Amino acid sequence: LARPSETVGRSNMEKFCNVTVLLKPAADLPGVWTAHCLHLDLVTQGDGFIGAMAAIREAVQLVVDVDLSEGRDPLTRPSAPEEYWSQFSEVVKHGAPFDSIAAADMASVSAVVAQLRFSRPLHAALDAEFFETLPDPWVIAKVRGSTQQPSHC
Amino acid sequence: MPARLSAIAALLLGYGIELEEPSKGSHWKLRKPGCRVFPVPAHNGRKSEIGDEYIRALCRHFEIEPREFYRKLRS
Repeated sequence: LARPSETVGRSNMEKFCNVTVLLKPAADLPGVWTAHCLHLDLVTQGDGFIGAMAAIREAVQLVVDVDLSEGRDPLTRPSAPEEYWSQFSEVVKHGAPFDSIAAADMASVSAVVAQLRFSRPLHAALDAEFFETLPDPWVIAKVRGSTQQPSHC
Repeated sequence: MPARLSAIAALLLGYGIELEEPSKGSHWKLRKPGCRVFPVPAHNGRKSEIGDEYIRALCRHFEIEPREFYRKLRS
């Protein structure tokens, strides 16, 4: 989990990079959620889970674009400290698929992990136009006090 | 403890970090010579309230001692 998973895409010109996101209600801002891209150690925030997810998508895209335009590989950024990876593991261990959570339980969701997927060309001379952040392949949520095992992840 | 982006930006100037407004999107950029860019959630511009989780990540990225940063932020 220390590095983004990479798989060669259909074209030799690009790779798909998956990065993990940990989302939680902000402890100090009512109604605000924080989103933390663990692989790149980027944090942002937004209104609710949906707003935070949109915000981290934009933040990751911005960082990838800027790093590439400066000739740097965004995937060499340091990842988040171990404590956040432990929180991620806790959600995966005790969480359930996000879409399986009843509407009545949504207010009790304490953390969500999701995956962002973006494509990038293999070659160093990179064109930001190649970048596209794709929909989340999976999302898992942990409800407060829940110890149930996910049916899939 | 959350803080307003304008207060954070003013403090960061003392660390040689500048806030750059974007041409698009709701994230601004924090830049310091020799460092990689770090995005800031600025959905309400300089009036945005920034949470503790973000401030700690900011301190990690620019290798700022968080206690000192918070002390200056409160003073």
